[in-house]
Amino acid sequence: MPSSWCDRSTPRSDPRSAATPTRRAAGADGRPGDRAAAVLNAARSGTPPPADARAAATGAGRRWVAAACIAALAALLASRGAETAAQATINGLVTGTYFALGAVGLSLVFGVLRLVNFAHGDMLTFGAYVALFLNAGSGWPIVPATLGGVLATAALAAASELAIWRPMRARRAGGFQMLLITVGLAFVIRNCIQLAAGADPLQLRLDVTSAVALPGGLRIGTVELWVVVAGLGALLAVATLLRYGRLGKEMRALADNLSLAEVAGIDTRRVILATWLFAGALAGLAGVLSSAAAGILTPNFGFQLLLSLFAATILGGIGNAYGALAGGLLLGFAEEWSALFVDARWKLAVGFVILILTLLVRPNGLLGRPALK
Amino acid sequence: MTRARHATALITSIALILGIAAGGAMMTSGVIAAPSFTMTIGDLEPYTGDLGPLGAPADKAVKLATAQLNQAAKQAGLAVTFKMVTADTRSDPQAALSAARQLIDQGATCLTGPASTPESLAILNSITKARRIPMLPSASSTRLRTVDDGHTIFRTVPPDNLQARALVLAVKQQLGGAQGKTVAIGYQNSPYGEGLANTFKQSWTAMGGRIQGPFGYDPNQPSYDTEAAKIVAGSPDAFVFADFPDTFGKVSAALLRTGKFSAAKLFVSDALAVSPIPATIPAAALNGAHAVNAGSPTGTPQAQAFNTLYLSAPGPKRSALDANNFDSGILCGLAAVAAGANTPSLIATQLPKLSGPAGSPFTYLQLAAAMRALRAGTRIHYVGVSGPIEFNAQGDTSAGTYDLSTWKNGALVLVRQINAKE
Amino acid sequence: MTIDLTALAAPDFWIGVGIVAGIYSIFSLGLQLNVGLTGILNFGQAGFMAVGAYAMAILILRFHWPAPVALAASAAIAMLAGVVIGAASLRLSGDYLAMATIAAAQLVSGVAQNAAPLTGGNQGLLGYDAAWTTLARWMLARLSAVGLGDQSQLPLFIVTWAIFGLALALLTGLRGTPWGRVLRAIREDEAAAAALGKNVFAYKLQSLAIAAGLAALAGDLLALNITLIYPQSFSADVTFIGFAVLVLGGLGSFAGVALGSVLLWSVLEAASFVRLPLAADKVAAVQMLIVGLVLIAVMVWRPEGLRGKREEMVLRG
Repeated sequence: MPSSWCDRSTPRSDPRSAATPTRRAAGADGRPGDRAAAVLNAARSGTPPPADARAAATGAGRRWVAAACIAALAALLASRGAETAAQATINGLVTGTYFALGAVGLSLVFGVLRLVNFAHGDMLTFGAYVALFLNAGSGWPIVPATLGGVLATAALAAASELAIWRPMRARRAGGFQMLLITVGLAFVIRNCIQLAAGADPLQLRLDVTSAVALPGGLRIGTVELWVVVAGLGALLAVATLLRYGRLGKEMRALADNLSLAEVAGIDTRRVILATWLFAGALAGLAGVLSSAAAGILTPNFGFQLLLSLFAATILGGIGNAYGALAGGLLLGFAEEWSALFVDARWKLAVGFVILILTLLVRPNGLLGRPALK
Repeated sequence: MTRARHATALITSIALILGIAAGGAMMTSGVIAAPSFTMTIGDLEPYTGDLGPLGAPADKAVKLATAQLNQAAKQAGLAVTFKMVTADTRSDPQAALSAARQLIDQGATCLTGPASTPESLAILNSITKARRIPMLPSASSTRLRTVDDGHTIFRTVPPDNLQARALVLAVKQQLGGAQGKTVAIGYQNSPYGEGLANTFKQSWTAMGGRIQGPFGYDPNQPSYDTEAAKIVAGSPDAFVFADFPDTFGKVSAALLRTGKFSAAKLFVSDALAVSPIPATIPAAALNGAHAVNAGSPTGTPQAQAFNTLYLSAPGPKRSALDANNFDSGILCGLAAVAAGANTPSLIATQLPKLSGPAGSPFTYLQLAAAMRALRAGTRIHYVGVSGPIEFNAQGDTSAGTYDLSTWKNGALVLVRQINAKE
Repeated sequence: MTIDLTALAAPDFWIGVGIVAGIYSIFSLGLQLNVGLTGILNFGQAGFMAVGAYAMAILILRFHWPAPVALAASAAIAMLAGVVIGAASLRLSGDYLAMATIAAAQLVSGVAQNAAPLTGGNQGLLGYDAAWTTLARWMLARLSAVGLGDQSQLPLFIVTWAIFGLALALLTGLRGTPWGRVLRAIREDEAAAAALGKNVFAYKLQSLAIAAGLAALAGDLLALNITLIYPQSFSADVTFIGFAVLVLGGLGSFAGVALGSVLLWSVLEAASFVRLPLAADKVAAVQMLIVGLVLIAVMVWRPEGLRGKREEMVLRG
């Protein structure tokens, strides 16, 4: 019997529910295993997972969020004028894209492995630095340099799986052990980058000052526009792939119940490795794109972003690429809108408040799958 | 018994510390007498943390100063050698304390740095005040002046209230008066940025001007577009920024993207007065903009020679306050020569005597002559790369001469000098 | 690569290391109570430390409370903060609690940085240590009788380790009581503890509050050591270093915390004496690299800590 704090299957450890089994894989509807089996069936037959009780819950969450967004926008329009509100929304879209891209990998690893990866932010930094060395150091054009950063980060993530996570799982390491290893890994990656590149800020060879004029006097930076297009494009592609592709179904099966998935003949080692490759690649892309748009890169850039990525992940519901997309964008809007009302110095605090409130009010995420709780 | 084991371990570990402490106490060496001694300059710089980018250039400047001192001492025929030890303050007062203790234990008798006020205050209160060890921080907050330092803190960096005043005068002259003119202020949310922004705001509003902001931003924000939009809103008459290059690079890109920003209206503080414009700041944000900067860093022969010296040595490029750090190092060395001993309290006593018009002027280009003069008992006035050193009663440089410069084709060009008085 | 031995042998240096190690020992005692004894993943300990240090400084500077009262009150206020944060978040398990507490700590640091009228903002607070300076002088006068009068850091060293000793005695005593046994039961199997009729939530809340009080004391001592408090002094890194101390000393062992802290800080501080053929900013990265490697190495090879007992570990799959 695992102790409750090692058990990652439920965010709420309610002592009052002591009579139920500790590992409540299926959670919400109280039919342990049923949904896992359903997902497995779906994985095998190739049809989408059945829409059950979670649809209703998700619908309620969506309506709630939509109402809050509309109310916030209405307040913005009324008090700050259409142009200001629209410009802040565009800025929120840009920030939200970084958050969403960064959050997807975090969310996948959390969903499949029940691992909160504190080193995820530093994986973003790693990808950005690799791209930077290829672009500014070796003179590669930005697109191949970005691909280089993405591949290198995917390789780093896969290497961490092979060198640390797989052996640790084989030893049945506990959650606390794994969590602290991610913290240690975060320190190691960040400081190795500083050892290699120094603490000075560096920048990609990009013109970050030009902007595209949009109708209504609105503007978006040229690089920012490309970042939003490339970022959202990559996100939607990945989300769709995971939603309908075989790998995504296998991931969900693992997320629901790892041993059951194993019994059902899924090659869990391969799926987990693929999860890490995806998470790493997306982290690398997030790192390159967000540092490209900001213009400057320092070794602590990713770690500074980490809590915002947690917030986006929790907001969107873990293990769900669409959720991370929605969570990231929501967080981006919230932060930029807030800057119109309160001093921008409080902007980062807004993200922390959202993280805490979401954890307290709807720990499975505003848009999350209740089954994953 | 486990409890017994725990207690044993605890007692052992405490005893270990005490034992090492006692052992070390017996090894403390005495002060080497004049005239032959080796002086150790302790260089406290933030190599990591938020101020990390300032560390390496400052360290290089003090290293160059040490080399100049050694060369001059040899030329002057003195049996004095200088060495430099350095430690990382990690931009953190706690770490700065350990770093300072470490340097002092390595024999440092005069400290250059640290770069921030919190670090300086921690070191002052915990170590240097009681032991009368002189410290020449490159932090510029006004707060460091009001603190009771027992005459151990000396600054080659002018305090920020003077700088804010210089900024006010520069903006006022450009706009033809302050009355009714709106200045948008942006600042990095740090002791440096916040202090300067608030002092500027007070002076400007006192002259009848209007302020938009001040808008603080964090160095770690994922984007600065909304802040930039607020800063340029309503086309203010001028922009004033108190920031460091790493953050300003991101902010200025966002300012340019608004399409409503004009570098001609921009005035920046000394930490941004870098020439040439670093690759991390878009050139369009600074070309045509104005910067105030302490001293006369571009015009004088010693400043030109220092520029050549600095650039010909390996290591980082020119950076804000490197000349001040160089001067701090030279001052430490000269004070030790004047004291004729490697004793911190004597060096602290000699430091203020190197400043002021009473002495005959020497630059670092006449360092050997300056040393000879000091040994002959002549009073000298060190004219630094960062400007003439004029310590007031608080150990602050009271010479309120600022260069107002502008960037042309990426390089700072002197426009005129501003005399800022309190 | 050379090592500077003169400075390494200086008493001043080691007393300084001892103070920091002592402060982190007190700080990590709280983590030990939470993580090692109760099974609460408290990642926000640095936030409680900030609450304590700021409470003490504000009570002294703004409200002119006598220093000893302010010290006690600071611990009480941090405990209250622990209860508030715990009441909101302790029903979360494992990682979720870790995220909630680290976000709460960042929020505290954001308030410290931006609520300038109360906290001094970026400029921080200064000048709350007058009473301590008087006491330290009195202690130094007594110490000079035994020839230690010129070790100006010794009073803080003594007070820090005395507080650690008291806290250690208190917690070790508590561990043997029925209360301590319930905490352990919660860590081993929360559901079973609840089934036995124990109010698991209340026990967890008490555990977090005590940890917050210990963090506050550590924060007060830190404030006295650096003589200035400043938002960046309480970054998330402080909590992570606390965890490195914790795992080095061994989960579940209160005295081990002191060993872990002394060991880690000796290595960290001595590491800066090693002269590597590298630029200074890169050498400095080595230190935090060590923290990371310690966390990974201990968790991979000796998850029970260097001297912890294997049965204290709750890391069975």
